[in-house]
Amino acid sequence: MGKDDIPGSFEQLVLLAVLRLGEGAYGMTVRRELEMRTGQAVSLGAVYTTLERLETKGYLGSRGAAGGPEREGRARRFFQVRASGVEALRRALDLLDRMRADLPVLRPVGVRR
Amino acid sequence: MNADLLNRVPGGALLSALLRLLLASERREEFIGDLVEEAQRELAGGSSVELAWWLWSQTLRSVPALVALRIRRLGGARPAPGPGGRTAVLAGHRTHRNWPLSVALAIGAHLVAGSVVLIWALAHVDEIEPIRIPVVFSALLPTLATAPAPTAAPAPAPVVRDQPQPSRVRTPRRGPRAPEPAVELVGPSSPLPGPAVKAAAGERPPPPAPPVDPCVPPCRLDEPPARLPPRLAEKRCLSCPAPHLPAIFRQLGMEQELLVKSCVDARGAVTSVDVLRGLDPVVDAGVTKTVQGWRFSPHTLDGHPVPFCYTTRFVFAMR
Repeated sequence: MGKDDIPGSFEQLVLLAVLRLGEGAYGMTVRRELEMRTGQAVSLGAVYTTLERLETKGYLGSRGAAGGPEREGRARRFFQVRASGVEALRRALDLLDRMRADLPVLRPVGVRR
Repeated sequence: MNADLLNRVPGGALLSALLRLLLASERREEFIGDLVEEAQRELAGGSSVELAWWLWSQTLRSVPALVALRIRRLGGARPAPGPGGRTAVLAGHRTHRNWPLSVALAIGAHLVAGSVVLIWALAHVDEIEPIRIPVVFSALLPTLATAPAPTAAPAPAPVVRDQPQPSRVRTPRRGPRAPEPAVELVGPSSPLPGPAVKAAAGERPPPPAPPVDPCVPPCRLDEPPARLPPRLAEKRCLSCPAPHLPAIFRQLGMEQELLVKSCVDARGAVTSVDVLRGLDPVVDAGVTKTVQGWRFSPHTLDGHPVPFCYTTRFVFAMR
């Protein structure tokens, strides 16, 4: 993927969720993190599609792992953000910051924790 | 909640089949595993119906994205090089590097499917409403027991039976004449309306009407004939007696087909009869002669009578 590529808005959210989850980022936890932090319903299919797209772009890496009894032994795939993913995310957020700079109406109102 | 959640909930097998369509095997296992894990977390102790509802709702919400993913894979999504020069391919996830081949395959599949549909359509564009003319031997048998042996009896008058109303109208027998096998004309619509039915019912034919020029408004005599579907053409049939079947064919006890293309001029008279699929020279000639005497109401185009052609299939069936 070119170095000027800007991830889309949902891609940015997924990258951020994977970053937040650290070692425990896989499909359902990413979805849960997104729903919890954005307050919006997200389909598991959309998460899977985006994870795969980001991996195709080289922003994410993955490793397979065996599943436990809580998932009836089915495999699980953990994702982690690569350096290129962090760079692309930083690029997108910088772009957003530059665009909204000096716009009082879009001044950040705080971050919910 | 024990193993094989999908097999325990109502519709689980169908859900599994749907996911099999939408996802590759490895990714499907991960997806189902995530669903099961989340279901255990969200619906611990829930009934199987609740679980099924939750699983179905989650899966159906994911269908558009999964379909898009499937299409993207078919389109040849190529993973970017990963660390160490290795490709970042998901384990077991087959990507299509040769996208021109994928496109060619997709185009080829569409061409094949389109050709099949086209061939089917061409084969059925001349869908011919069958006209069945079974000879009813069952009607003949009781008469044979009481009547003298058949002599050179005239050809049987056709009896018309309409479908889907299977009521049979038979010709009235005339005194002690030799028994005559009844001939049925069977079709999806009433191909021989009016006079034939009335004659079979024994009614007196109406007095001939004064000739009326059907070419009002003026006929387009030089217009190329329109090609009418058999159903429409048969609706225009004013006088279409059924062709006679020689006795020898009535005794064969098998179904025979005959295909005839008829052209009708703007005045409703049959101008040409071509036997497309013949049965026998004698039968073909008899059918041709009969069809040549058929009369139609003119087919109009933009309010003007024009000639038309159509195809009829006669099915002579023995009973």
